[in-house]
Amino acid sequence: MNVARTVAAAVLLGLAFLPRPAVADVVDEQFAGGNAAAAASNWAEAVAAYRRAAGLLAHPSAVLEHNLGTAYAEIGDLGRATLHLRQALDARARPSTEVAEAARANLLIVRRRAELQATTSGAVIDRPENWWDLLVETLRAPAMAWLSLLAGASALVTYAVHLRRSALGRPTIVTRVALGSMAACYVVAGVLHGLSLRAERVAPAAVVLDADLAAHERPGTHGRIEFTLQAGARVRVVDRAPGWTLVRLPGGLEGWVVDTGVAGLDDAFGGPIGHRGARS
Amino acid sequence: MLELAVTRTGSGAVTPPTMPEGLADAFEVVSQHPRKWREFGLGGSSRTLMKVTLGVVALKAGKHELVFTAGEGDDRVTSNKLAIVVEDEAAATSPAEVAPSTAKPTEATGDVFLWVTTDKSTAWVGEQVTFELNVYERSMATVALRSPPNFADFYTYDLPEGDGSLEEVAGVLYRVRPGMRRALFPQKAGRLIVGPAEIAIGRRRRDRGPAIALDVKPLPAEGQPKGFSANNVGKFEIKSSVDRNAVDAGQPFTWTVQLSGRGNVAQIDPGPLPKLAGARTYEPKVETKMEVSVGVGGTRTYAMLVIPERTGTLELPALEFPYFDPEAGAYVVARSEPIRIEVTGESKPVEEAAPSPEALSDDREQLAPIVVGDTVPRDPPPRQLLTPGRWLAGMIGVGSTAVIAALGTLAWRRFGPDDAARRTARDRARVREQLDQARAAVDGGEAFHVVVAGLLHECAVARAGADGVGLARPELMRLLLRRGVAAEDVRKLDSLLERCDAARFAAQRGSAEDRRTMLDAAIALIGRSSLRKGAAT
Repeated sequence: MNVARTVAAAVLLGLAFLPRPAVADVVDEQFAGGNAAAAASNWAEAVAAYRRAAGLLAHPSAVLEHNLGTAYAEIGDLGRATLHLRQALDARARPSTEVAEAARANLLIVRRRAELQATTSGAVIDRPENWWDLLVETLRAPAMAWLSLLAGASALVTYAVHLRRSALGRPTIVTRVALGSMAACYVVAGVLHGLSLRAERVAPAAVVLDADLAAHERPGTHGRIEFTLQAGARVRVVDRAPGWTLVRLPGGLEGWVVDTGVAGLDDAFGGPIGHRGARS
Repeated sequence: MLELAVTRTGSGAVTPPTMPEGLADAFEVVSQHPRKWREFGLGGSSRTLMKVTLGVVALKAGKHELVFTAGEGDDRVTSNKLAIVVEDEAAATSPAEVAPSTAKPTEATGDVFLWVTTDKSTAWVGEQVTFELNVYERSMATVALRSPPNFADFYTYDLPEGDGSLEEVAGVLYRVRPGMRRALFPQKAGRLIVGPAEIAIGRRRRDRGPAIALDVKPLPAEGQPKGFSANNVGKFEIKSSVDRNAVDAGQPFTWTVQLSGRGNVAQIDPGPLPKLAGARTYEPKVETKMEVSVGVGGTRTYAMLVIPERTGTLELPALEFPYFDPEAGAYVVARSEPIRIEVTGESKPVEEAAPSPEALSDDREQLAPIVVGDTVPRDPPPRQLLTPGRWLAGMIGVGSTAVIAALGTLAWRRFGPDDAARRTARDRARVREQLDQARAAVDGGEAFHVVVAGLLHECAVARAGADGVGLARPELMRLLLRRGVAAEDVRKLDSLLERCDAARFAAQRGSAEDRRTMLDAAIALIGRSSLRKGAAT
């Protein structure tokens, strides 16, 4: 009997010390504090509260990211505003339709402000998103992965049917056409999806956080400054050195910037995993 | 440089002179070159001479008297008293003792000396003056600029030093090494001094060049534009351009004003760019591109963002840039051409003052409000069934399966049975089927003989080939003989077929044992005799 009690006590004690997710009340408390500060137009305090709330969460929340991005936009920090608004739009943050709409609208405003700043300051900003970006995003979507995989499996089944019909001496034109179509879909969709995943893994997307971020020709402040980057610009992280990151603009312009000047879009989700959810 | 000469008449050695104490206190000996030789007279007399050349650098200002001695004891001799006056540095560079120099050196002063020149001895405030410092040398000693001249009253730019040359000074050939070239822009009127430079010759020797003075005249007050900058001196032109000539209202375009010419381009001041009616303008972005060659010049560009707010024609006025031309000695105004911009689209309201870009954005584009609520939605990220790893494994699996299937099909086609083999297999299967039927009918006897007769007949026809189809039994037997079937086997076959016919048509079924014996004989005939298909071939 005593042994049973001891075991039960040990189990309870162990459960008490198990790592648990953040207490909901603490997150909500910070969230409410941020909302109150935002209502009073104290955006700096709102940012601080939202950041504390975000730090307590195990994974990004679209609402929190949207509020954080909006607060940053209000205080003129266009780089961080862009980062958090984009993260609010990520499917992994589970944005509702309303939140996605609001985040998209704010992102558009932040983008226009960044372009205006870039025009006046001479800093370099990435080109606006166009059909090519949409295509790349589509190729990276899970739907493309499913399409390629199902096409491959269907091609296998069709091949078996084709062999059977061929052995029985029946017409095979239909199975031939179906087999060719599915095989082509398997190869094309698979290769394109794989390439887009590889590109995301090799050169993950990032956002410039600091205004007029100096891009050097080589790592270190002694390197000649090639150009300056506008806060909020989308870049790709091509290479890394201690304390420095080589970034590339969509046009191919490259330069070394300090690590803290850029942030990866997937960092909050645990790094680039390839399948970023389709933007809702 | 000090030269000591010691001469001894007759035989005997000459000892080097002893340095006086005063020399060490007030001077630093940076070089010492003794030289000794002997001269013989016509009458047989001789004398020994020693000459010591000392390079010294004065350390203390004042008057120093030096007396050198040589030899010991009775041979001790004393030199004349050498008085050297060392002036302090401030006195040496006082404006009263320097003069402008625009000419080449005319006196060969030692193996290394400095020579500084300017391209003009008088200039206007802000006018470009070229300063040159050259080292004239005819020794192989290393020469380095130890302290540059003092340009306190000038705005200066480095100029390319150029190449060295050979030059004759008072009949002595020197290598002229360019030490420094600078463009000077005097910042005030009066007699301005460029302090002396100092060079190091070898490891311990130093030489100081002269200071020079430049007479700088103030810019004339007559005709001077209001608010004129003293840096707008030189020769300039102004150009105005835009990146597009037609825009929609509310869309920005860039107005670029370019000032270029010779002078202190980085410091010229065109004044504020004009305000434009019906458009918002922002602080211009200024870029300066200096061109440095013989003198200083370049381009200063003002790029201003303009956002028209009214449809119609927006006129960018002609711009004026007044500057002082030192060659003409008068003020000149450079002018640009006016530019017209066609503004289309919907007019935007005109505001009194041009707001900052942030203010503009705030006024026109309100951010969507934050999401307010009691709790933060914290749904976990959607579970991803098809992760990249699984997708890759699936794709590889599908591809591998397809490859294996394709290879298997190819192998089957390559190594699998052909048509004849398949036909043979079909025949054997049929034989097995008929044998099974016959075995099943052994006990009952029902249809036994029909099956056995059919089996034997099919085997005989198969052995005879196409010619055997449709033949009566006697002809078929003969054909079998012609096909090489053993006569014994043909006889057995004929006998069996006869017995089958008898059983079928004469109701002579016999006993089960008889049928089993007949079946065994038929099997032996089909399986082992020459009747078996392919046995003869």
